Amino acid sequence: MAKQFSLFGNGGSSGSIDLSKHFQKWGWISFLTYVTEKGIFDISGNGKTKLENTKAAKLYDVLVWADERSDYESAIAAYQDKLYKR
Amino acid sequence: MEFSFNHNIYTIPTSLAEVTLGQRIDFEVWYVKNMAGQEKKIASMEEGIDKEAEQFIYQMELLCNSFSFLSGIDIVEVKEHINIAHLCDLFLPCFRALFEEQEKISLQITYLWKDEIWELASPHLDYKSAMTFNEFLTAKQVIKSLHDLGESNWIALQYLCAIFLRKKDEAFDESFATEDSKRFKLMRELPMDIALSVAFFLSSLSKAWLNNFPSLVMEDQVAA
Repeated sequence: MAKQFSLFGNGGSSGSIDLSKHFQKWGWISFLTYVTEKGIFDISGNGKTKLENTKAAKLYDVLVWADERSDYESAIAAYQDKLYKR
Repeated sequence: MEFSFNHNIYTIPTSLAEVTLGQRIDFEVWYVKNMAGQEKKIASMEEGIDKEAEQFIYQMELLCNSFSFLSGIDIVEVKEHINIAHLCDLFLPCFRALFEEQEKISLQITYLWKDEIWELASPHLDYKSAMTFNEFLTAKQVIKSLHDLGESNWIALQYLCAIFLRKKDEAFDESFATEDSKRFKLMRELPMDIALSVAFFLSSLSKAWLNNFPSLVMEDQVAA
């Protein structure tokens, strides 16, 4: 997981928590939980749970979203690191 | 190819379509149990005549056992009653043909198997792709679990075939990827030419999604 998505890495800032062991244990289940909690692919009123809606989402859409989040969170983490070092 | 031995007719495969994924899995289980240790031992030996002799014995043993496994003739019968030179003449060309065919496997989207049309999704990942997150997630999670348990790649391929190879217009069902499901068991009967096409499909899919998502490629390289 951490190999493929930067948002599942150790985090960009020096004070961030190391979650690599957690991701090693939970793998893609952790990613599923993350996406589901965000509710990005939820369709309200279709009778399905958030989890079911996330699973039914198109792979391409999920990966594009994850890729963008990865870049965004890296940029924010790098900025915070810079502020911390000042 | 059919041949006669001790007044009985036996068959050995000359193409991947005549070998099932289940046979390949069973052979792997047998190999790990009986010959993998020997292979490791030879690899650790110093170069020289002793190593060469051990390698020759290992290869002959593997040849006899492969022949026994695929023909159904008991290994004791093979060793006692079949001339090794005849065995090489008969079986090696067939064995070589299987490997050569394996090298030439290409991706097909549609297959006819058990009188039904079976399909693989397109490995090109773009906004038109119908593949769901769940298919991908289930496949990744199954592979992770099998890897953690130290299971063979061929067992993993059986799961992946159950997930990605589906009847025409059939939706993915999570139960396909469970050990007790009919679909998973059915995949043991899948001919190896189709099973290897699924492996080829997965390799193409993996390349496609890494090409589409540059930051994922970078992460992959850093981790490697």
